[in-house]
Amino acid sequence: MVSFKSKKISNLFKGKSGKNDVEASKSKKRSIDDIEQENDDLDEMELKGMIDVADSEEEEVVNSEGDDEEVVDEFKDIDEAEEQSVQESGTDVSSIAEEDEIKTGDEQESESDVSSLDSSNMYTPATSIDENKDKVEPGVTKTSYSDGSLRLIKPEVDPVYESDDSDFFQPKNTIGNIPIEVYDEMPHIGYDINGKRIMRPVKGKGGQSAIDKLLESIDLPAGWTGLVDKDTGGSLNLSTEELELIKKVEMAAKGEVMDEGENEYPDYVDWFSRHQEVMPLQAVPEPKRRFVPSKHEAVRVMKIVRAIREGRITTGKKVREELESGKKNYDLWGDNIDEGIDHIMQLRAPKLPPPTNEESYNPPEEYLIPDENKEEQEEFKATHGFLPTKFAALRKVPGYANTVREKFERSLDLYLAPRVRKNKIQIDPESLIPELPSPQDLRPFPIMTSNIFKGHSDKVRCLDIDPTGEWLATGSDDGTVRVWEILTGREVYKVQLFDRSDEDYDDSKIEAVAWNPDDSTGILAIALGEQLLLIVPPVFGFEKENNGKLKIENGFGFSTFGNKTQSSGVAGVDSDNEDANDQAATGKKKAPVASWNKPTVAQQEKDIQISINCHKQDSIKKIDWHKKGDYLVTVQPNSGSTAILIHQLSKHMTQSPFGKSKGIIMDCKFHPFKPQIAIATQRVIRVYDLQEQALIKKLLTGAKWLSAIQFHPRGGDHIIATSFDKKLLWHDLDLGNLPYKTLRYHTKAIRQAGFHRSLPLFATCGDDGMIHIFHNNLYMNDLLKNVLIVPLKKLKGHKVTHNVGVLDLCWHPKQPWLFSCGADGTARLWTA
Amino acid sequence: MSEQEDKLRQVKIKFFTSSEDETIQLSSSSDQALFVPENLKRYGLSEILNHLLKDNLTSPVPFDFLINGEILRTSLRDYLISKGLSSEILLNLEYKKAVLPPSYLNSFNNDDWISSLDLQNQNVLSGSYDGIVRTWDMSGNIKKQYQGHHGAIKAVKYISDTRIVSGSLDRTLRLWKTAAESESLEDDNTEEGKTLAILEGHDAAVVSIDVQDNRILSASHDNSIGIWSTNYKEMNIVDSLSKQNFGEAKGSTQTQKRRKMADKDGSTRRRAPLALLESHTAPVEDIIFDRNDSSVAYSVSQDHTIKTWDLVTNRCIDTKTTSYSLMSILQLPELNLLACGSSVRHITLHDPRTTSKITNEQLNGHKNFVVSLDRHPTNPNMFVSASHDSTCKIWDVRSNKPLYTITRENSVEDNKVFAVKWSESINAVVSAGEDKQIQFNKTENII
Repeated sequence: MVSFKSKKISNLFKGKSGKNDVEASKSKKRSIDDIEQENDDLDEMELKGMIDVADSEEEEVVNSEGDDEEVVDEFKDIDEAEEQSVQESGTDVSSIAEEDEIKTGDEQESESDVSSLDSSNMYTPATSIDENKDKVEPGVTKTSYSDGSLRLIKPEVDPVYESDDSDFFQPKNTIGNIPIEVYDEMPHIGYDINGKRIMRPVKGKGGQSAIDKLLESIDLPAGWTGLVDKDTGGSLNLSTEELELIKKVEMAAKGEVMDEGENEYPDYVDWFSRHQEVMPLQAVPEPKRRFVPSKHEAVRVMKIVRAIREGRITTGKKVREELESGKKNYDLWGDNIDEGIDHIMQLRAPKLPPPTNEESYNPPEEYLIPDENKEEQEEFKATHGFLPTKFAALRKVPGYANTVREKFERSLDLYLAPRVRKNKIQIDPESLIPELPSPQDLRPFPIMTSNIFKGHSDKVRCLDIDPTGEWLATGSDDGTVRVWEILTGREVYKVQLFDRSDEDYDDSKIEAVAWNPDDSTGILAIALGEQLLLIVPPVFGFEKENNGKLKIENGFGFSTFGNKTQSSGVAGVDSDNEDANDQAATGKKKAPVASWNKPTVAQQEKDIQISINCHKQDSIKKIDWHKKGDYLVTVQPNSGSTAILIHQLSKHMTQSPFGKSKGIIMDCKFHPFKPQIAIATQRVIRVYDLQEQALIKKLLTGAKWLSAIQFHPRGGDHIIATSFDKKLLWHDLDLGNLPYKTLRYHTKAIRQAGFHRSLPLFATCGDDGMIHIFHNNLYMNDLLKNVLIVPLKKLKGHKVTHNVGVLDLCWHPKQPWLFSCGADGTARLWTA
Repeated sequence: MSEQEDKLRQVKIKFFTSSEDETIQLSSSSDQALFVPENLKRYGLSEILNHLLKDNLTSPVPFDFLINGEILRTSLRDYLISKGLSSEILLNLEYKKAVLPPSYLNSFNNDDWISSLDLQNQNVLSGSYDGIVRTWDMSGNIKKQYQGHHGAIKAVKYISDTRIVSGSLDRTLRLWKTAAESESLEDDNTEEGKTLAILEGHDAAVVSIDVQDNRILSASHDNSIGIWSTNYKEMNIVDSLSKQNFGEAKGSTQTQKRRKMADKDGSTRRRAPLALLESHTAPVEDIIFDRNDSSVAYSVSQDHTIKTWDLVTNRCIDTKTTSYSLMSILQLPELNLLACGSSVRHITLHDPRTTSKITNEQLNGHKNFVVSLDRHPTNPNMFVSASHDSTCKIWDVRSNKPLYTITRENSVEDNKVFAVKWSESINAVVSAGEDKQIQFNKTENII
């Protein structure tokens, strides 16, 4: 800054006296030439100059006190000296004139004053000259013109004297660009135009004592620049005028114009000070807001108060307490997760895994790989990038070559790899489990075995409870169908339908038994191979049994009549086309799909009332009665288009309602109250309207192999299906084709499912020997609610034999009792 | 508390008895309050009492103790703690002769399951699943067999020494007449009883019978209760099957055959019920007369209800609904209680007089259906129950846990107990069931 200022100042100087500078530089050049030329005379010249200075000082003192004439004389002397110097060196006149006038700064001033005085005198107007005709000015030569008039010949005007530049009188230091410091060791500071030494102003002696220096440094004189005047070697100070001038130039440069005499920096008067004045400064009354508590401030204060309360701002007291309690110590090894996270979106760099044992400089022996195992070493190096190495001491560990590279890669990872904040869901897994009512509140449901029906010597394949809830019929692989008293487990009736030891035995099994739902008949339908047998067990008493038998026998009249008339129509409407084709192809009249045969004597002894022979060599797997007890559907899975046969008891008539095979039919059930039928193939359940002869719904179960289906007995819009691939599927017919719920509770194939007729219960049984009891609430009153299914109980009791567990189950019509039968040759009654 | 201290802690007690037995009455001199250690149990108290009564008793008698009508089953201290009582109060201990565990006496073998039992004097009457009613003497001989039912016998009952009634799965009851005893005694062969009348009217199995004052009540699985007279002459005649108004066309071919067989019974009288009470909605499981009033009957059914019947008007006058199927009923007239055995393994006590409160108490202990109940011949608080869990249990209504459990002796499995009776004449609990045995358990000590 100082240098800049000094530069500026020097520039200003230049601006001010540019012309002189040019001349000065010229003269400096010249003087350098001179110096070169007159190098030899240098010492002489110095001496001479010194003497000159001393002389001229004396003279000047005299001159300043003397009158004008003496000054003129001096000028004369100068002229003479000029003439002398011209004679001596033959150089420029001006330089000669300068030569004589090497003077100190003080002398310069006085001289300049004198010269200015002189010049003013010299510029006196001609009139005054005219007035003072007689008075002959010095240097003016009085001659007379040819006409005799006085002619004043004035001396030639020396332009140097004409200039008002006070610098003119200063001895010019001609050292040029050589820094003044070079002369620090010297007694002089340079040379003047005449090659004379310019002596260093006296310092440290007399005038410029150390104290003066100190004072000077403490109390800076006005105009001080801190620079050394190159010409004089003294300090370069600016005069007040010069400073004023600089200021004005600066203002002008800024574009400001200041009037003369205007105070640019007036003194600041602190009118509104803290001191209470006697008189008010303003007449304005104090505003109301000065007296009303500030709402804005209240809000801000409350913010702070709240923050303190919530602990966002810790007060000094708390901080002190924390410090006292030892929290001041920074946990160096702690997992400082929150460190440095000051923004919600700021993501911490993932932590590097902590070093392992192998990475230690002193790993345990077991981590070291001996040199013999080259392959192992290579393998380790390939996977880890280093080899575990042991060093005797930490200081012996060499520098790691890859440090920079690894740091760089890490930084690159952090920089380039996008990081995503993943919010871990903080949910108690328990809360995700749907809230189900406690099974305790849903009682009664079966929980224990009350009765075991023992007697069968082989698998009990099927069972059914009669509509009054008194008698349980079971069909077994030992060839018998038995009827049991449910409460005591007493077998009250048994019929041997086939005998394995019999030669005629053709591997047919009793696959299904079903009581006629009409409780005034007591008819039991039994599927034995491709035969459907209707028997009336003699357990009901004369009236009921007679009623049942009559119902069966009454159809015979229709049978003879019907078989003839309906021989073409037996197969039903759908199969007409196929029938026609068949007939055309074979050229024969189509045989009826089933024949109703009167029992033989042997059969009569077995209480068989009628046997219906289905003419496909495929055993009947499922039977379902229509709820009115007149129609009966049988399923022969592999019989193609005649897989499903509907038998009408009252007319001894059999229909095959489906023309084309839909695949392997697994189960078939009548709708509990609508004229509909549901047919399950291996994967799909189709619901048909029997009146319209049309498909109503096709349900995609998602199971691979269905085993059984059941309509809900009250809400007929629900079907449950069980599958051999362990699934229990709940279909709501209103909710589309896919299952509403898929339950996987069994660990093996599920064989059968069953709804309770009146209670909200259903059960499934499977090859894992388990029976699962479920509660179901259809919310019949609230159509918006979905079905609630609650697993209630796992009943374990049946033994698994040959990987077959529980084969069939059915519910008591009124009580919350369940019957099941299994491969262990028993049936069981489960009660609440 | 040290053991020493424990022993020293005493409680003030006073004995008294409500028994009429002179021999166990305390004399006035010894009838005082006593301090006894708190840790005494029944045995210790019994010893003290025997000591006090040593003048009267020839041999030591075990006693049971009751505090406020509750049998003491723990030490006095535990009793006080459980009741939250101070040990400084005076405990009034009622004592009675203790019930000793019943001891196995004997078993009679039958050919088939025995479904029902009745006792009279020294005779045992049993109904069996082979359809034969038998009478046994006390040495295990079959005195008489009554054959005629086409199905298993489900209920038997003595009407008098010479009359028997039985109910069967074949939906009928039969009135039997026993022959004069003199004839049978000399005969080695068992004698066949004679059917006086077949009582027809039920459509399903008759499972329970009760007899009182010339009236027979039958419970049937056709949800109805039949009222019959012990005298067949009082009842209306039913046409036998052959005379029934069936045209040939109406009977099925096999029925016609069956009919001929049934004509064997054609000569037997057939009688219709005096009335059929139909109010139950599920099979009726048990029926009893009110002991004090033969115009009132109580029935239990699988439809969860206990119904009170007025037999004068033949109406149901009260229905108590529980939440489980009921299997058996017993009246304890002195306590005005009905004990009902249920399908959910417990016995509930109901007061037939109240209508508001349904259940008084539950007696828990059985593990399967409780199908038969009989009261102690003399002790009004005690009764015995039989269950499908192969046990009989002796209960005191003052304690909700069984006093004793009688298990089956001669069987391996399949041993449901179907019937139980408490005999006064031979001081024994007689039970029978699936194991084809009539088992006697001596309960002399109890009485």
